[in-house]
Amino acid sequence: MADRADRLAQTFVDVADTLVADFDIVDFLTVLTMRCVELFDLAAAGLLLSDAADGVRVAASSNDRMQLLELFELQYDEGPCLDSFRTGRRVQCDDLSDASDRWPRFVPEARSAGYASVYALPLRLRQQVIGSLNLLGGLPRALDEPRLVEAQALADVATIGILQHRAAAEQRLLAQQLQYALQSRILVEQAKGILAEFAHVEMDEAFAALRRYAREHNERLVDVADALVERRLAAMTVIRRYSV
Amino acid sequence: MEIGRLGRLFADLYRAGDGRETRDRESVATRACIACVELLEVGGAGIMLVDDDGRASAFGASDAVWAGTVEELQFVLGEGPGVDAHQHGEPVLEPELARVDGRRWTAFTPAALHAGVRRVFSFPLRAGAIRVGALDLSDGVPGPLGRQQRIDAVVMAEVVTRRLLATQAGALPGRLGSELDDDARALRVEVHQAAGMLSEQLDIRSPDALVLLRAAAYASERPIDQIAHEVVVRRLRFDDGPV
Repeated sequence: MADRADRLAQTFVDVADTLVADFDIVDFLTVLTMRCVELFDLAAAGLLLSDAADGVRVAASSNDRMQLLELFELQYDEGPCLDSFRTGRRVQCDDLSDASDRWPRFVPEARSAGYASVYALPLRLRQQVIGSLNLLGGLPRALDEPRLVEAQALADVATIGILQHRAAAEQRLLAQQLQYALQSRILVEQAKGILAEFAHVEMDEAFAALRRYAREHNERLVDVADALVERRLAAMTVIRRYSV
Repeated sequence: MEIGRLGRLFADLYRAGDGRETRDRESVATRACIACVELLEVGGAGIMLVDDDGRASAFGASDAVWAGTVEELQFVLGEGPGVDAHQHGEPVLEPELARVDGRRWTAFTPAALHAGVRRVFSFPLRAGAIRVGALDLSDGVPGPLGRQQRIDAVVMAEVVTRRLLATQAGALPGRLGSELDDDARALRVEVHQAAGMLSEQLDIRSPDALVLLRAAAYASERPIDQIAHEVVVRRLRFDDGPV
């Protein structure tokens, strides 16, 4: 009893650790599903995350046997995971043997794979549902209420980890875009200076000439600016056909 | 720092400027610096944005005296605590600038002291592994940062980074978001225009023209923005041509 409590506590610590360090999200999710199987004496577990089209896709599973993966993939159209994702609520079936009209395609497949009960826990933070944790039992009633509460707590910590990871990735993307945009703007201003000096015109007119050249040659403004700054393109060429 | 004031500071930091580029109050970079001064209780705060190649791209400063000096010197000289913090990805803390080893920032230190700066603390601005610049805190009196100040400064570096990155959300591809795009001063637009003009005047590459401008600013002890403006309005040339 104490040993299981230790293992559960250790799992929480390990999951929480990932919130601090840079971590591999796929590895993290896979380990989480494997820990669930171990801690809750399950037959298998999987984690499905929302895709771009309001459905789910398998992101991790406790083993990579084809049969298990296909069972998760089947749930893209129907099944406890999809219901859990859509409602943001726990969805469970303690005994798959009398549930065939609930999920007419999923249930027979799950049973023939040897699963007798299924529990889908939402990956949810307040109003945002990002997926579902799918727990499969080899026996009916594989999880009782206290165990389900523990499992939901693990799902909650996993949700925070995933959202943190996504937020960090978004920040990195914005940073790259910002740096690129800053350098582009600097190039354009330098190019304006080159043209303004060459043609002895104001910056506005230099900019107009730059834009006109880019339009006429079907090139991006920043590429024309870069060519001018790098002296691959002569100011004379850009100005020549632009009459003040 | 009572909650109401904290809330107002953040609200002010996050409100959009009304687009008039000439007023410093609207500059998101300036507002971020002012928020840092208020929250961290230091004399001045400056921001430098730098790309991975060390090319400075934008700046902000809470004032012209200390923070403005620090940012100006780092841009002109290419050295300083913020430059180091950005390059190494670690805070650079200098509580007594007057006692700095002569080999550290050989040009920056005397010039900063001359302007009255007595301490500087620089914190890297980062989005994960991507380094975007530094937050430079400065003051006219020496002395270390308190432990809580240091913790708060690390948090503010994160807040400032997020605020600056937020300007980019919703921007057109390849373009700056409008808050920075309209901020000619933060982008040092005239400096880059002047570099372009000089590269034509002297038949040199623009990066070399920029080095010339920086050298001219340092030698004449005038702000680089001023010299650049003289070039752009054609009161100053670097060749022998007529003005």
